[in-house]
Amino acid sequence: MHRFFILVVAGTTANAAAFADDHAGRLHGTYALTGSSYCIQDSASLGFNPNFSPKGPVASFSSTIEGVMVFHADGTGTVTSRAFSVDAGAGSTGDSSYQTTYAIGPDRKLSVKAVTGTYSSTILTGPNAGLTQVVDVPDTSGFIGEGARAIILAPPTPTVLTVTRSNGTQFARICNGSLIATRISDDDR
Amino acid sequence: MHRFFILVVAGMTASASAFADDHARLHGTYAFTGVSLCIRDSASLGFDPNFAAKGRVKLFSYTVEGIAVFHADGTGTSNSRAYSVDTGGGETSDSSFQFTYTIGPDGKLSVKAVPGTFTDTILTGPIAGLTQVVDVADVSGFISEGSRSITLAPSAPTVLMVTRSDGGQYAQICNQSRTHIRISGDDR
Repeated sequence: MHRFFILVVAGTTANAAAFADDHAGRLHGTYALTGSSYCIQDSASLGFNPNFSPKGPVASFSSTIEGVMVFHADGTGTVTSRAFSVDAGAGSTGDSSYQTTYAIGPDRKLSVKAVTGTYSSTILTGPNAGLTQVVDVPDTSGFIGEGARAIILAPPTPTVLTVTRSNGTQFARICNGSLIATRISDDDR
Repeated sequence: MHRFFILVVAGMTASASAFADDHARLHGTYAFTGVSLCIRDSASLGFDPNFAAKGRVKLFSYTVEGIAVFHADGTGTSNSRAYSVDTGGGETSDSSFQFTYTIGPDGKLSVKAVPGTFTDTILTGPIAGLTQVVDVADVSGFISEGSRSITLAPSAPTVLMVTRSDGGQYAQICNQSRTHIRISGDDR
């Protein structure tokens, strides 16, 4: 009987320790990701003023995203996702991937940054299907749920993002965003 | 061995009761995020009773991320940052308000802002530095198993008034979708 209690207590403690480690220092696992954003886009030659107002006429579009986000315990990770964009002219989809680094602050706030030079994207459907593009990824921050079962992320401040397409066109854009990631596996391979 | 099973069953029952209690009353700290799409008119024009705009509207989207604390006494607080984008640019603002909540017999959660508690400061963008008071729509939704997450959305259109520190007044209608994840059982 005593052994049973010891086992139960040991199991409970080990479980709590795993969650505590997840929160205190490092995430590790595979998360399914979804969310949406709304963007305005200008030609890169015009761009935006320092107060984030556009210097020329903008196109606006909404995009939703679904993908997989992997967090490694060493503070790195990867994102692979499909975006579905809709504007007044058409709908289009694109697949993208990039590497990330992340940090967890003393307040347990999570910060995620894309690793420069790792982003790749191919436009699959819509008027620009077949093009590839490189798009700046905004820094995001957010919170880790109990037991690291879920994570929310959003860009905390406006950032002007540059888009460079394989046909030579360049754009500047500003996008808000809301992302939620739910753990689908402890495996981070 | 029998005592072992009794203890296990008792433990499982206690755990189930805790979840049931969580449903009857929430207590904890939740991180939330979500999106809204809004149309905004001048307050002097506003909207018809069928929610059609009486004048030209500005359309904008905003996303939000923040912390909501639910106390077991049916009250709570919300602190969040919104990131708004329209054809005029991007802007962020920090807001907070108090709320009350109820959980119906069907387990449905209803949340209402406490009038007079909303504050908001615009941080970036063309009108950075202004403050504003914005009506907060009533929202309702569902609590997941173990109260680990909550979804909320407004169930009907509402005309929300916006009053800015520069004297500007607007009427707006916004849809919204919010997902909350519990980050702590602490509700301080």
